[in-house]
Amino acid sequence: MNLLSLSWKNIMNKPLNLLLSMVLFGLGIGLINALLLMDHQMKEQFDSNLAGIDMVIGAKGSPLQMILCSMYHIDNPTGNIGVGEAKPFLNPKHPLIETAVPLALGDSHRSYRIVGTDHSILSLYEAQIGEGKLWEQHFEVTIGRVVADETGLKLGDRFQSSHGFNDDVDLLHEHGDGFVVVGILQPTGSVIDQLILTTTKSIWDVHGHEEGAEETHEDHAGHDHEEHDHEHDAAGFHLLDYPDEEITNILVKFRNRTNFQALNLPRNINENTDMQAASPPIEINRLYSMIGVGVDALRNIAIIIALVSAFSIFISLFSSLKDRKYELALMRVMGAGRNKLFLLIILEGILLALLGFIVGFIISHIGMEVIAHYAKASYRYSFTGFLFLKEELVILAVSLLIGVVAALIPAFQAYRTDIHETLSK
Amino acid sequence: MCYGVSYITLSNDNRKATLKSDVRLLMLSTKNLAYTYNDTDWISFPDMDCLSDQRYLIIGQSGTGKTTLLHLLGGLLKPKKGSVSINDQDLSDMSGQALDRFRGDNVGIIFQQTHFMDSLNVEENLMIAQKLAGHAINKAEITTILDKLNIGHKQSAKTKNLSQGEKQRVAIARALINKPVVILADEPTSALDDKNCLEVVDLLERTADDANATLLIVTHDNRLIDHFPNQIKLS
Repeated sequence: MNLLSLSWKNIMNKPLNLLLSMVLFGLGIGLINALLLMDHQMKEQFDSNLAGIDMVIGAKGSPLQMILCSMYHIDNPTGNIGVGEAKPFLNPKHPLIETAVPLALGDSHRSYRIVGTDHSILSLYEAQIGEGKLWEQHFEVTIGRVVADETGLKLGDRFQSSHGFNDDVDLLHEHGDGFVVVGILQPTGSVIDQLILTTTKSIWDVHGHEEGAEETHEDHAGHDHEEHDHEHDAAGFHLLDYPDEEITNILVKFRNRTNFQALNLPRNINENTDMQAASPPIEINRLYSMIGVGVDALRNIAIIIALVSAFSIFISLFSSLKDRKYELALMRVMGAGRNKLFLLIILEGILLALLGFIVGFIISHIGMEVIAHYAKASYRYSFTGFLFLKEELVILAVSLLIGVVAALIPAFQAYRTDIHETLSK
Repeated sequence: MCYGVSYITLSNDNRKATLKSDVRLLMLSTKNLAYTYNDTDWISFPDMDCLSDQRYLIIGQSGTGKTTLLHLLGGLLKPKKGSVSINDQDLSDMSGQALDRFRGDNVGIIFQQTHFMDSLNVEENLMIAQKLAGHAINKAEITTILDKLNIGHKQSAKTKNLSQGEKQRVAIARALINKPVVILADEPTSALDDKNCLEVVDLLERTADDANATLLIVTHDNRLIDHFPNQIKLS
């Protein structure tokens, strides 16, 4: 039996007061902690998918939408751009551009996006083949690890794509034998884990069939489509040979990102072409600042709740002093100094705050796990409630400090307990 | 003035150890003790020299300062005039912290109203009394004293669930658990019928005997007068 265990028993002796303080404090702390977890994981996700990309080129529209669509695959395309128009930026000899990765979007399989591109996309995300091989022929696909895990697709499996990005059987493309899985990438922790990669021409061909186009590429040299047979060799496929076709975006890495001309390139594209160029870090910062307004509002609400709960701890301790004045006087009679009475009440404040923190901690992590479940279903983003941050220790310290501050006045009242006056009544 | 046999004084360290012997020690004394609540009306108390192993009754009607005297003797109140010594220690020489510790170690007080730590059970109430007095927790001693007072079976009970008689016994056990040299009891029988009154007096005498402690009972209950030859009358 010591002061700590006495404090513990004292707060447990008033279960309703304890419950009120814990629920209020837990809600405030839980909300703050959940915001912290969400903010951290969102930034981590966004940052990991920046992949060193300096510029994205696409159709005119919202630059943020274009970035979200082409890099994070969570929004719709702003439109398509002509290969002929984009040709200068796809030229491997461009003096400012080190890597230009074309993306052709528009289809999906069970909500996982099918991306028509070339192998250069792998270098952006440092992705490597895990099983099988990389896509070579048209209608061959190499899938990300998450796609394999979630859809159960294996090497050799075939599937038909859906138009758009939703899992809707009414929008299913009917195109020969469909796509065949030839490879599965190793997990990278980036968005490529959630993509189905194939040749750009595969995407064109699917849509060519849907629109009833009579093999619109027949004119292209070396490309004689043979009655829906997509097993033909794609090794000779060169995107620039199809200036009349369209792609959705180009992901660009500069040779030198501090080069003045490179920095001006997005502005030049926006001013002098029918395309738009956007810088991912700028757009993501813009997104953070937009989200930040809501996050700040929620954080302020959480702080108000935490302050109200601190006040409830104060009221709880202060009102209990009236009932416990004889107990406190008795403690003095039995040998406890004034300091011990002060410490006893402070410990009770700390314990109430600690219990509130624990409730808030559990609420925030369970809440985050629930949000993660929905985020994964809606956006394919893998948040988790089982992430524990160093910043949570700061929240713990602040919680305990709130407990101390809330207990100060009651503790001082206890310190001033007049034994004679109390026990004479 | 306390009535009793002649006494001797011993060094402070030897006092508790010597209590088991037949020698009677001066355990509590007051000199020129007086108190005022408003700086005009003074309550003066007779000088007292109380010996170990003796019983004293402090009697007086309401308003004669009985409780004030008890609180002065227990160090709960600082004298405005005069001095109180317990176990050869002048209480007014002690600072707040030292006085609290000294009181916990040397004085057991039984109040008219029994109050306990509501959050603790009987055993824990005695444990905290040991702890706050700076003693090591000794569960065996707690069990022994509760058994002596016939409430051993209530050791784990919450104090709020005890009968009034049981509460009084627990209060006595708590006052005695640290083997005090002086036991002060404030109106311990005022709310009791004759049968229970005698029982409590008997209990207090027996437990004080067992502890070789000086027992002072402050009361206005005339039923006790015949039981205690040593009496201090307040008027």
